[in-house]
Amino acid sequence: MRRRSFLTALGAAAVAACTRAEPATTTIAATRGPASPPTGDAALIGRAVVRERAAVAAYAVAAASPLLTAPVKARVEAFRAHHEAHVAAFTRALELAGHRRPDDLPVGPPPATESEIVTIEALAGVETALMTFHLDNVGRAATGELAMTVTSVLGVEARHAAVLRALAGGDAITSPFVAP
Amino acid sequence: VTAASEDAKVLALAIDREDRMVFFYKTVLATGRLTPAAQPLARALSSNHQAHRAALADASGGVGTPRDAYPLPADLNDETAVVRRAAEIEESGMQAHLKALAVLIAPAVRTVLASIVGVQAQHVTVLRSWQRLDPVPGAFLTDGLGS
Repeated sequence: MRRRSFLTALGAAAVAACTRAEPATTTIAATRGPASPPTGDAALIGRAVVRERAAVAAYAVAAASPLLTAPVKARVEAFRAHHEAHVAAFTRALELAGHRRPDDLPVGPPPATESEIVTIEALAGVETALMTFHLDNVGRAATGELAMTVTSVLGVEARHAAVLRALAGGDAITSPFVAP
Repeated sequence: VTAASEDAKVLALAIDREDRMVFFYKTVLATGRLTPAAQPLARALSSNHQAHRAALADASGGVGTPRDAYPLPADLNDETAVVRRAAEIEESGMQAHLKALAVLIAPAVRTVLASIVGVQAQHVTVLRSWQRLDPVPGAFLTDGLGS
């Protein structure tokens, strides 16, 4: 019950969208092992909260730059809102499962903002690092449902990165894969 | 039944989706309905899907040859229609890949498919930008295309 609340809170839409029943065989059950306690996934999600908060902070610094043109500023604000939604979803899942929200940690240096292009490139770097972080978590997630939900977040950050790279004058898509 | 055989079934469907997208781009490039400006994009996206197919086939231990043909939308009359349909097909394939993640068992296989989902999300973004639509309409892929 506690675990279901945990997953449901994090990705209700994602989990509901999954229509394929899991195969129920002894062999597969043995492969999956016993139902994992939420602790491992909670730690994973706690780290995700911290990383998403850092992204929000980076976007806040970028958005405050007077050097951004209006269209770029609007894009930066929109992407910051997405990261705030990621923080909210991850945090809500933790709290509903009885875990406390993680403490704030140092978020590293703010993004460079000497010019609009430098700011955009810095944010693209933030997104790329975050994508890699989430991709690593996909492999660590105890359940497929959590892997799917983390990928739902990862994919949006991949979209952010593509838009930012294009705004910086580069190729939106640089590889057939999100590289770890 | 083993975890590997169950994952192989899921991956076979994912490979078929990649083959469908390769077929779509190959066909529309052959029709001449894309301007020279759009053709490199179609080729690049098709190339990505071929790479996805190869990675998925590798992860599943090898899957046979693609089908000869896949059904295509009937209204591919001009570049606008082709790009709109490409975005729809990419979004549909991406959502199916995303759902498949929930039932894959091997963590390494999940990671491969998640990596592909990320890039396919970028495909949708580029195609939406081409149509002057919001390139990132939601905070989660599970939100769908939005408006």
